[in-house]
Amino acid sequence: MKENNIKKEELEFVHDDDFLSVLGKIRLKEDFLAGKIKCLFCGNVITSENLYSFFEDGGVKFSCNKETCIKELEKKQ
Amino acid sequence: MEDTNTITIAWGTLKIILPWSGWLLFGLLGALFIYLYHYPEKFDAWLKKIDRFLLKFGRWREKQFILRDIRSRINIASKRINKEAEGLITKGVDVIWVNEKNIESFLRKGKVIIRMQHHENQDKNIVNAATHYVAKGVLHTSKIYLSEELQKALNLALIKKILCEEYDSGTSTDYFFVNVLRPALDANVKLGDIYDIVEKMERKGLFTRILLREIRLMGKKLYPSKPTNREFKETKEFFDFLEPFASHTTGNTIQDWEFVRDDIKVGILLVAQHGKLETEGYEPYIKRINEKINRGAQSIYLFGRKSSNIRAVKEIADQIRAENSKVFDYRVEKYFSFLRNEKLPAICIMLKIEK
Repeated sequence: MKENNIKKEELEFVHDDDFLSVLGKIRLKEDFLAGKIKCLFCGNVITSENLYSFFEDGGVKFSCNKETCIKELEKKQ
Repeated sequence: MEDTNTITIAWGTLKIILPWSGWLLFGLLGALFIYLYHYPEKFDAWLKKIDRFLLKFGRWREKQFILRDIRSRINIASKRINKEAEGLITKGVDVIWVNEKNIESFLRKGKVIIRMQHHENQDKNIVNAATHYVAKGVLHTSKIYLSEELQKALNLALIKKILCEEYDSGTSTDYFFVNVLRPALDANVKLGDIYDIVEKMERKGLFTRILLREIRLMGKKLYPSKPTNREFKETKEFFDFLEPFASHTTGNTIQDWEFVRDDIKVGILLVAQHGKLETEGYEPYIKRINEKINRGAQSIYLFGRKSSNIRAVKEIADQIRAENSKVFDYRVEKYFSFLRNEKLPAICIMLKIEK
């Protein structure tokens, strides 16, 4: 029985080696290094330790790796 | 003298093989090509091992290793899950590296970009990738009709299912257990209870084959309508309904269950060797299936464990398909089920019934 053949999902990743240059391109590198970027969901400062993801939501927003924030992030997808 | 004989035999054999060696090579390459065409994810898994080896000599294969490791694991798992319940999840993934040249276009498209650390943290990378994939690519039109706890439990069970596909010495499953699963279950007793039942369903082969499949069908019917209490109630009751079937061990009578509501209309029949099957043949089963169809079931699941019951399930399905014109499609799947820690061959035949 054939049901829907769902196509492949694209997953977009940024590697740590490219992260700072990517931030430079979107003009957020200085803010990140100065600790001025916060998690959209919990307000914690985003660091290289807790960074989980980033996305466009009326400006580039960041999410930390707390379980509750990852869950909130799911709703954005 | 003996050595001369051996050389003569070896030379004689080579003289026979050599003229055919071109064809032999051609055949081997053909077989390899067919294998790669059908199982690209396994080829990915081989190449991943080469990349992992090359990492010992430098970091130039770092991103390639991360990409192949994630892609092969998810694609192998998604193929298996879709075998259990076709169309349940996307046909695997493609991984795209975002860099300074393409970042703006991905942000414009509204993509969520996940951070990947160096390969020394690959366990964390894989868990994050699987979490992202499950959130993005699995049941996304159906999850909104589930309670928060049920959504979380299903996500965790699916992430575990994907991670458990790894056959090598990977430790991402351990990382997931210690850093994600255990803390989540310890922090929420209700979630822990639901997750335990999902695990029980998984061991019995019901998690993907019935639970997720029916939730997906419900989502297909309803999405994008806003979920109301009615849908939450129905999905919760359906989950509760499956629990005794997941806990069921064995018995001498016909075991059947039925859940016919607004959006989920399911009948389940467990074909057991003892009791009616021995004394009365298939008729009691056929009668019960017809009753379920008449009461509105749109999916009938027939289950059987052990070879004699597997044969009976097949024959019952054939008979009902021949006799009842409302059965318009069916799906057969063989798998292994657990009964009191014993691993047994099992079958699930899903009959699709006209509305």
